[in-house]
Amino acid sequence: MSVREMNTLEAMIDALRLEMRRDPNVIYLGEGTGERGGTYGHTLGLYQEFGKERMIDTPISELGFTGACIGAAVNGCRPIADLMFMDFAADAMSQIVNQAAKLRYMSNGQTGVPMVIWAGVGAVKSAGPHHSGCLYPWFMHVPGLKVVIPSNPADTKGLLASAIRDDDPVVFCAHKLLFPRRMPVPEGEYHVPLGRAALARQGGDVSIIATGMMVHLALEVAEKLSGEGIQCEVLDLRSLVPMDVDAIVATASRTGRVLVLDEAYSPCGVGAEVAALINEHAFHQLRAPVLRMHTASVAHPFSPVFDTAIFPQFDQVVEKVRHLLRGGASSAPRTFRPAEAPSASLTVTPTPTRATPEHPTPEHLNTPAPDPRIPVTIPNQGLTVESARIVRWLVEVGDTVREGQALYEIETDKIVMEVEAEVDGIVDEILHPADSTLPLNTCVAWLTALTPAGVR
Amino acid sequence: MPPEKDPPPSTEVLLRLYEEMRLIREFETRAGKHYRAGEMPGFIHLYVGEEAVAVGVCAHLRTDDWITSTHRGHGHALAKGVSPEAVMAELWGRATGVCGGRGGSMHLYAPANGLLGTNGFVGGGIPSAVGTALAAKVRKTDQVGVAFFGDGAVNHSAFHESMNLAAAFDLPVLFVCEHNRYATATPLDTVVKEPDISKRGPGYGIPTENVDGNDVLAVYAAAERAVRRARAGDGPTFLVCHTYRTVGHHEGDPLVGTYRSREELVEWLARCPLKLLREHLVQEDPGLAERLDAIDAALQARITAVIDYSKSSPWPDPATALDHVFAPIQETV
Repeated sequence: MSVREMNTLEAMIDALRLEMRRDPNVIYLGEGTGERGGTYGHTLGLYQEFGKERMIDTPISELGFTGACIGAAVNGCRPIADLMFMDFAADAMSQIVNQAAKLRYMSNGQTGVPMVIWAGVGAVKSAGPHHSGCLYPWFMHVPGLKVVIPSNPADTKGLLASAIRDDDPVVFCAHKLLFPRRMPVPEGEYHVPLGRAALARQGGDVSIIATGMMVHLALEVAEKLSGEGIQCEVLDLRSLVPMDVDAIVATASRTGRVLVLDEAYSPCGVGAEVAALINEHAFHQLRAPVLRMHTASVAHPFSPVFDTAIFPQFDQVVEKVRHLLRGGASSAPRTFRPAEAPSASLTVTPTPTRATPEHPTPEHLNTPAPDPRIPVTIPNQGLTVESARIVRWLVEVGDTVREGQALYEIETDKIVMEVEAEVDGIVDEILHPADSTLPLNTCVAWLTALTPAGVR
Repeated sequence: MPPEKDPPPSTEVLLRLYEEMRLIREFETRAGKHYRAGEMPGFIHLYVGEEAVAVGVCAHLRTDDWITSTHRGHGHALAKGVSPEAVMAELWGRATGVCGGRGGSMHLYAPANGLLGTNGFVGGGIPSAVGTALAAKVRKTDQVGVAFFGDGAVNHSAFHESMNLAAAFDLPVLFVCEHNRYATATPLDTVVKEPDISKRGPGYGIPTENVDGNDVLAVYAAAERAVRRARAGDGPTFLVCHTYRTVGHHEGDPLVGTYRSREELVEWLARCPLKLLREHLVQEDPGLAERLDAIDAALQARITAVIDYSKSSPWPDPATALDHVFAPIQETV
């Protein structure tokens, strides 16, 4: 099988393109997924090939177009409903849960709903409380829905193709942090069956059962601990419904110590389900209680300094694995606490927020450089873009430029755009030549500002 | 929109409309009787008084056209051609029911007849009716999707999102509002500022007609125009059919009382759609009275047999309770 290096977005588009060429009944409904190519650039080029009849730009009507996909599916189409952010699924929930999921059962198997509900999941770049959700445990709970969450480009392609061909509604969780990640992906038709986990790393001491981006954290932890002689097995669940019970039981039985690592919330979640399955099927092989790490049960706070406080951190996972090796019971904070006795007064005093002025500024944010000159940086982009390539420079060192004048052109996963001068000035220094691919916010040139009089 | 004049339906067509309305009336009346006797599980909402809407619209539909219906949906199922045996047995929760006893009154599905469900959710079926029309457009069939719903649904987002979607994409949809004045027991004009529902259609760019929903001829004529528009690719139509249920919200619910008066009920009973059509036919040709009587008698006997069949049908096998959650394992991957 020949392979080609692709990032996750390209792998997704590749799967869609192949399925849409193969089957004219595959249609795609979403907000800005037509000519624009999607919020993440995840449908780029498909509108141009398949037209507006099949790459349908919908109004902002999650309930309406998700529900329409149900009828279209019953009447012979294979629709994909693109909810952009999984948080937005809440607006379409009744159609998904009460109609799509139940139709096959209610109708006694007379008809099903072959549709894909595609949604970006996961926290990225401080998107805040309404754009960071990993709400797939909601869907795992509903009979009749399948749920998948790939952790890499190849699985993205293979699982999406399988989801489109599946005769039941499949909730496809696309982790936004995966979009720029690259790897060799099989070319041509490629399928990953629903319901099969993948062993991402073998090891005999501890099993880390992970999903989505957490698979990569698990692999990093396993690599570090391997240097200390601790061998971690990493199982990438990939499919949450159906869940690969055999693979879970096998790894739990091999190591006897299991940590579940998942970005969704803990209550009634992936960790709870996996731990219960292991209890039921591999209890006597356990050498320690099953532990789990999830995002803290809070509505993703905006400020980036909160990130380390709510998401499983590398050092914490390492410590958790060591804790497992010591056979220790969970030291996780309790999620639910009984309500405190009601106070006599109903007046609510706002809790003062503790200031932590000593907290360092997160690395990915720019701090003003101690240079009198004006930096020209690669402008910050959307949530999922991490880097950009300088296509060409439009000015040279020594040129006088006006505010608003195009300085250089960049290309990202989503777009090609010109970057303009923020002030009138003289190009003092160019730091990176054309064709450099650089992280966003990198300083690529310096301008010396001109006074208004100096220009005119 | 200015109604074009279609030639009036023939006497034979009118007799068929009468027969279908009588089938629904007989079915519903008898189902209610057996429900009240405690023979049926669950709860049922009867279509008594509103028969002209389902029958007048479905008269123009083909088997491969799709309808979505409501919690008050037995009439739509029958008008779309699902056998009364299959519907009645489903109300009894039997294996011979249209969904093998898994669905019941509010979840009747018969894809072979183009019935994409009665529905337990107010407005729940409107988006999928639009979706069937979307597929018809993509697949270049000339199928039509019809959403039946009540006045209770017009304040739900499903109605608004679907109206806009169908209009924006010129989809072949009929939005048929069965305006029976009450969302359960809430009069429409107490929960909206503008009680004229038909004003909502033009706001979405959808041609709209107010229709006497108790006059099957009026419904028939309006639906004929709307279906023609849809099949011609001219987009959706909104029909506001003014009608009245002359039974309680569900069986066991009071007929009149807190939200409506005996006087109002009596007024509407005088405009019973079956009575109106019978009068019209007999006025045209007094000799038809005999044929109408024969239809009534035949359907009475038919429903007696339907009830016997349903009551004596086997229960579903509880061992099949876990079947049909997912499709059988596929070989595609």
